[in-house]
Formats: sequence, C-alpha cells, structure tokens
Amino acid sequence: MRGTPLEVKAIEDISMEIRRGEIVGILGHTGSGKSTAIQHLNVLLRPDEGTVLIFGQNAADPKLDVRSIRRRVGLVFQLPEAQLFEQYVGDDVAYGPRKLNLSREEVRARVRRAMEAVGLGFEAYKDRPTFSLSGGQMRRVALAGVLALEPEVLVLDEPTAGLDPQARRQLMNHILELRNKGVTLVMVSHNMEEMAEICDWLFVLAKGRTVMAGAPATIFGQPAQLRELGLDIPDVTQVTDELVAADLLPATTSVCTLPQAVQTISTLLQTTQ
Amino acid sequence: MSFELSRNIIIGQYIPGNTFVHRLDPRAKILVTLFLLFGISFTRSLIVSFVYLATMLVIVWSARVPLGFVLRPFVRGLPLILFFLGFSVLWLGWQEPAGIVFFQWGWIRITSNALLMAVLSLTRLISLLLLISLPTLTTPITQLTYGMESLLTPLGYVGLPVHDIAMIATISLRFVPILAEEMERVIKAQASRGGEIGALSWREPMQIGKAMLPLVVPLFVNAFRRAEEMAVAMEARCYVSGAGRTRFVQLHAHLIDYVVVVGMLCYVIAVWYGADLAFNAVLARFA
Repeated sequence: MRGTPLEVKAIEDISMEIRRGEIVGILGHTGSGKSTAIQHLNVLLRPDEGTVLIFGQNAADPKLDVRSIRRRVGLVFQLPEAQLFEQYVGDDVAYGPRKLNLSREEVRARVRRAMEAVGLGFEAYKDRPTFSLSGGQMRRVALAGVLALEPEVLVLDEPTAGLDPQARRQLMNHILELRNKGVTLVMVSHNMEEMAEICDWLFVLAKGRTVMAGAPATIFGQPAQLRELGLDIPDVTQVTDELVAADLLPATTSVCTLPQAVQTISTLLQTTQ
Repeated sequence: MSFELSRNIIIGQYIPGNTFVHRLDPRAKILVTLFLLFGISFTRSLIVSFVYLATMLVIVWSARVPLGFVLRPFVRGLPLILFFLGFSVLWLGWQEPAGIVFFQWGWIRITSNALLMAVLSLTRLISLLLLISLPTLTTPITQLTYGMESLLTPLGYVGLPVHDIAMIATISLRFVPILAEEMERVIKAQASRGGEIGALSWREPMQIGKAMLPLVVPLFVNAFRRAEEMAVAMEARCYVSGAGRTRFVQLHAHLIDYVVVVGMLCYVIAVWYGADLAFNAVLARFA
C-alpha cells in the first residue's frame, strides 16, 4: 500500500543467505514478515530499500528478466489449493510448463514427473476434475503445478498447515525427496518438530527483523528467547531439557529430533545399567 | 510492474481520523452526500460545477484525506477518460447551438460548446469521485449501514425489507477489499507459475484478456466459498433478519448534525439558483 495513508513497513531489517542445496527454515510469530520476506525470493515483491540478490542478480534492477527468475525459483503460497483454476488436474499442473513453450511431449513428461513426485498417479489423476478432490489432494496438485516448472529453488509457505498427520508426513517425505534431487528448499512453518527434523539452517523473524539465525540445535538451544518471541521448541527438546534439569542427562545435551533423543537416552540407559 | 491491486481500490476503505467530517452522524453524511449528488449530477452550468468541485476539495481537505489517495482511481483511468472525452467532443461537434467553431476538417468539427461540455463532464466526474469516496473513507462501514437502515426505516412500513437491504450493502462493501486482496494473491500465485499478468504491458490487450481468464475462476470459486462460509457462520449465531436485534453502535444525532443537513440543503439550493446569477453579476460589474 505504498503512498497511501495505510502504508505499513512489513520488513525492516532482514538479512539472510540461502545456500544452494540446503533446506532453510523461516520461523516467526504471525505478522513477523515471513510471507513478505519470501515473496522477495522470486521477485513478486521488489525491495523499496536494501538489496536482494537472486543467483547473483539484483532484484531491484528494472531490466531484470523476472520470468526467468520465477522459472528457477518456485513459490508455493499458503493454502495453494485455493488457487487452482483449471477444470482438470492434468491441465492445472501443465499451466506452468505450457507457458514455457515446450513441446507437447516435454510438457506431458514434466506433468507426469511432477504429479508422481507428490504421490498422485499421472494416469489415475490427470483427468479428474480439480474441484472434486479432497483438500490434501488439491494441495498436492498445487505443489505439482510449481514442481512442473522444475525449479532449482522451491519456496514453501506453510506447506503442511491444516493437513492431517498422514497427509503431512507424506508431503514432508515428498519434500525430502526433492532435496535429494538437489533442489534448494526454503520453508516457512509453525511446526517446530518438522523444522527441527529437516532444516539445515533456521532464521527467526520478529517484527520484520531477523533476530536469530543458526542450525536447529543452536536455535532450539535457546528456549527462553524463543518463548519471548511467541514461539516454542519441539516437544522432544522440552523433554530432554527437563531431563537435564533433573540431572538425568549431561548438561551438554542438545536434542531436537526424535531419533537424536532415542539415541541419547538409550546410551544413557546403557551406561547406567 | 506491481501486484498491489488493493491500493487502487479506495471505495470501502476506511481511513481512521477524528475530524469534523469523521465525527458527523452517518445519517447526516448520507443525506448531505445525496444532496450534493443531485446538485453535481443535474447541473448543466460550468460555474455551478466548478463551485461544487471547490466545495468537494474543501470537504476532502477538512477530512484530512490525502487528495492523491482519493484521486488514484481517476489517475489510473485517465487514458480511458480522455479517450471518451475526445470522442464526445467530436460527437458533439455537430450539435447546435455550436458556439464558436474552432476547427473544421472534413467531418471533424471542434466547437466551443462541445469543449465546454467536455470540461463540464470532467469537473463533474472528479467531484462525483470525491463525493462517493468520502462517506466510506471517513465512516466505519457498520455505522454507515446503520445510518442507511435508520434513514430507510419509514419505507419499512410499506413493506420494504429495510434491514435486509442494509445487511446486503454492508456485506458487499466489506467484500470489495477482500476480493481485491484475493485477486492479488491469485495473480501472484500464477505469476510464480509463469503466468504473464503483471509482466504484460497495456499494449497487449489480447494477451491480458487471455491471462485474465484463469484469474476469474479461482476468484469466483473463492467468493462462493466465502459467501457460503459466511451464511453458515450467521446461521450458527442464530441470525434472523431483522428479529428485533439491539445494536452495539447506537447512533445519536446532535444539534450540529441537523444544522449540517439543513445547511447543506440550503447550500445546494442556493448554488443551484445563485451561482450563475452571482457570477453574471460579478462579470457585469467588471465589464
């Protein structure tokens, strides 16, 4: 709302560096500027001040080829299922590739790969009417629509919000597979367990500023600070912290995923026996 | 290139403030708006419409609403407006009385009366834009619709569903910015998938038309979904149309509100009959 009386400065002082091949998580309270920040990553928003470099290209440059950037950086919005528009699933996924002027076979191949990557069988789903699918399936279609562009970087805004545990797990598995294929991932989420489990690096935002940055173990090692920002730490970390407080675990333990906790506690049990 | 659609839609936006215009009773505001609406729409005199334009500017200034903000849709639509004005100047070129003929070439004739009509339309358009933007810019929507409902009450006795009309008006006004935001989101989502809207210039109208189609579908789907959700939410709160509900906001008209309404009515009448006379009198003195 620039130039209106309702103008708001959504992000103030954010510095982050996203390295190729990593999974980067962005945490923050509602209204902390997460969604605004990630819209800079594929030049949907351009900075009024400051610099955004994407693959070394300056986003503020008016001559920038915006479409080529968007092709390389895919962005999946919050509640993407609300943005499907084609009548059939296959057509919706094919929207992006068709815009790239690819051959029919190539479009078909990309749609097939994208749909299969999110666990929707190409033959089974391509001719299904989009609006007859369930919410979780629609979300996967939306994700496939972005994947069909075969981006190098995938930015996901709360991809698992509002999904049931099974759908959530499946979606996370698909996302992890993408990482193995070399896609760089940027994720926004409120689910601390998820973030602790898959992210290589975390940024914490508050009031439009980056207030913390580091590996998950470092970030979740500061529960007091996180709570102050209205965030939480994973349940496992809470449990192990309590165990440390009760002198059952050595004070140096820092655990933020379930497998780590299992390992730490089982070694503890073995040594005490 | 910009995706900020909602900043171009100012109807339905409310700019908080505490000016005289903000504090006025919404019923008074609606009545005054109607008076001015009639005055501005029906005048054929250039002088009168300039007086109204000045009046509107004074009101906008006193409400501390930034002029540039109110005029934004006008500026956006300027190319189109100028096109139609140019067209109407040509169209009216052959109408009699023509006044002074400035230019004639083949079937094209530009006359002083046609130009005067164009200037009149332009001032009228700006005044109307300022006028219709003001009530929503300076009044919370709930108050505005309560005001409307209260004014329409007499018609309830002849069977008009006043409460329903007010409710429909509230909801539609409320939905304008929501739908604009929704549209913005959909455009952004499609731009991320290689959609062209926002990357096209206005010189490619066909492509823009084609790119609009995939926007309309999700917008409609979402609008229907929202409407349905709202109906359910209202049902869940046991909403029954006009079932003698009490209100959170009680409207109280003060003396000043009556003074403003009567004063503005007199002003509109006075301008209607007086502006031309006064202008001619002044002109006569200097001539």
